[in-house]
Amino acid sequence: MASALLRGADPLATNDGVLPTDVLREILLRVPAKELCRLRLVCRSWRSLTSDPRFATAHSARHPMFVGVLPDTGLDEIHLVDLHSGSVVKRIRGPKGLCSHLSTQAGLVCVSAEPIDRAAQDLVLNPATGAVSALPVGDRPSMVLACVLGHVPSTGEYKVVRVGNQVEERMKTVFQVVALGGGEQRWRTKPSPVDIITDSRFIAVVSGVAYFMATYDDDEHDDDSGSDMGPELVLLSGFSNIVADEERGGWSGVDGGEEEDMEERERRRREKREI
Amino acid sequence: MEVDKGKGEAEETRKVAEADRDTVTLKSSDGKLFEVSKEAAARLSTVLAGMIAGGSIDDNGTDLKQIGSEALENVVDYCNKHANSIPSAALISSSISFNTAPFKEPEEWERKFVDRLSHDALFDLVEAANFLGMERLLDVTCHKISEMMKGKSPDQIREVFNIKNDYTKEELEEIRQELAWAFYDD
Repeated sequence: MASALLRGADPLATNDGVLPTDVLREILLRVPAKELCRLRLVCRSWRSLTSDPRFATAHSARHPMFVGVLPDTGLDEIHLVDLHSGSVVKRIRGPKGLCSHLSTQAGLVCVSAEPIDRAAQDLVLNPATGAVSALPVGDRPSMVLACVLGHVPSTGEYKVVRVGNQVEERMKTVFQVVALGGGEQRWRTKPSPVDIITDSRFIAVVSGVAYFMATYDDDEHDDDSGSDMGPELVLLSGFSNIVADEERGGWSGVDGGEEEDMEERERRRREKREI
Repeated sequence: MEVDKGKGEAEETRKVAEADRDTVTLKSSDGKLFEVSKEAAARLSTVLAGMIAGGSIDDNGTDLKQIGSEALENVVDYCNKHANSIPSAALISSSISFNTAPFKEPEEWERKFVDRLSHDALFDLVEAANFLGMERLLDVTCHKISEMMKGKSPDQIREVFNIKNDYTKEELEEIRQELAWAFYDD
């Protein structure tokens, strides 16, 4: 009782209530996702604690969930299914035109929107808290091929890379990146190292590096000389590299070797065209 | 000479007795003494295990200034009950599980143990378990508190946890709208 009195008597204490933050965190990690989202209403510190990506990661590891989108049903719903009970614990109503492509990274999920809607907003959601944030529209390419969520381990930042084609500019490849988290979110267009056509099914992000299975987009490939250019794995962008390269305003491959390969390939391709 | 020798022997015997003691004495912030099995203390609390191994256990009562007598009594009670319970398969496997595994359900006796506690006693106990590095007790108490949150309104939660509502009316409305947009119950 004495300690409870003491706690209540300190008006300068942070607004954690009766429990220290580390204990509170342990408790909230055990609260099922469905309850957790309502607890954001309790106070600022609970909201910020549960909104922290590190909390989300720890929580989703403890409460494995399966995220699915119901596209083309007119419902535009995202369903979160608890893997233990098998029941739908959350249904998130998305904006119109959700795409079935999901990209997950360290507890967050990116849901890309309608590929050919220049005003559509891609979403990032946190299954643990149910927080849904709509990414800015930005200068959305006329055909979005993929939206990929990445996590930069060194800085803890989350970024989304959007790959698309400008149909009206001879299918020019467009790469855009937005950093999530504090401050204004803004899509930044990056110079594309190579023209590709890819597909959301052929993308994986591992340790801050996005791997795209890509087919080079090359008009000349319609003829026989290009038929050997089948799909192949291209390491297009390390999310880590984006951080480093933003300083220089460039966009590079994963490492120097890969860049050389690309240059070499580009050179060979040009030669081929000349022939 | 003979007297000295006898004294030495007595000293020796006392030391052996100390080393052989199978309990440790713990002293609460308000000066009350509690005895707990050394084996259970070392097994259940990483902090006490460290103190026992490091020889910083005081026979006259090891000071635990952060823990009140009511909480310490519950800690000791838990240790004793734990020593008497037959570890189930669930408990044995929990010691080798990774922290990504879902939390282990409390045993029946552990459930009863925390169910009888008042809110204040429970909160004091969870802090004591955290302070003493008692993973299993922390698990059990946190589980109980997380269950207490179920179905409670934000106001009820604030009351239980002694939290001031530091949102403005506008902010609350904003979050509510966010929730209304994102969720609806089945």
